[in-house]
Amino acid sequence: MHEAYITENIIKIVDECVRKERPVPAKITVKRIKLKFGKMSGVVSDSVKFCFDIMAKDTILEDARLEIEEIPVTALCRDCNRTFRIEEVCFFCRECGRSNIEILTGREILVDAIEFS
Amino acid sequence: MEIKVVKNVLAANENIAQANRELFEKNRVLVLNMISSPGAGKTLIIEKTLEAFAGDVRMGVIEGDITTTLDAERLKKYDVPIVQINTETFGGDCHLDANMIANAVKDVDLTRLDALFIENVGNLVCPAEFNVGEDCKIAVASIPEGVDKPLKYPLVFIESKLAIINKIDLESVLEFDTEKLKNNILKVNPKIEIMSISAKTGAGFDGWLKWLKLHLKK
Repeated sequence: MHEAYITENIIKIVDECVRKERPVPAKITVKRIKLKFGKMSGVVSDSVKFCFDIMAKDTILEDARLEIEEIPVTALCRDCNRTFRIEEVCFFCRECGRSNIEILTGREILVDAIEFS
Repeated sequence: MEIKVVKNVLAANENIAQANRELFEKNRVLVLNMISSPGAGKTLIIEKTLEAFAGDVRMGVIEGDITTTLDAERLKKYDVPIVQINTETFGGDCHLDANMIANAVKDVDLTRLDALFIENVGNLVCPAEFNVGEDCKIAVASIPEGVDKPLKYPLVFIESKLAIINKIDLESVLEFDTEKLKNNILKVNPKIEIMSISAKTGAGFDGWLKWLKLHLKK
């Protein structure tokens, strides 16, 4: 997908959030960044890691470790009210077979948490 | 120390898309984001639509291509506002994003439009990821592409309100199983509307024109 663009945004978000927490100029080192990517977001984790190593160089994120959690695709069937996981490309309710479903998770591209010192 | 942030990485694009959406809504313009592989027939569909609605529905077109102004040249004769976006001369962005659309509509008088076509860069993957402020996405699938594309590139069909199957005039020549393609589209998006047309011969085109008129906002 657009991993360079996504990585650039991740770096921007982390930088902004950390500086807001530490408004007084001081040495900040970001240690760990927790990311959440939905299985249906199209983001390739390995490509983000690859881009991050290059793009974070000489920034406060340089030594940060990326922790990426993959979020499964889940849906709610509005007819039988069941929540279920979608493992393959078939968007019908696993229980009742109907199509009145709502995707609940799986599209996320999130910066979830940041650890820094 | 650890802080919880939970920020959407694509928020920058989403915010601009929302501003575009508000601008379009204020002017009551129906905005359709047309997405397909290269060569599925987006431009011809737009061309024939401009022809059919000339003097009736006021339309504009934003043409997205990596390079060349060939599509804009093709549509020039219809005397409607056309903005060509080239993402990069020697091969650039594979999709249009909200910011490109925000810049493109600066040159268009939206008060004088009923509908605006956004012809996205020919690509079944990336354009589906980026909202630009459209009312809906329309996926165009053409028969020579085969029956399996919805299964291979599901997101564009999941995101679209309407799927247009184009080039049905080739159905018999290619011994094509259109029902199978329809079923595959419905498998990834059971709620999508589907219509079969040939922009070239005009078969089924009335249905498309009716659909478009029905969705106009003024």
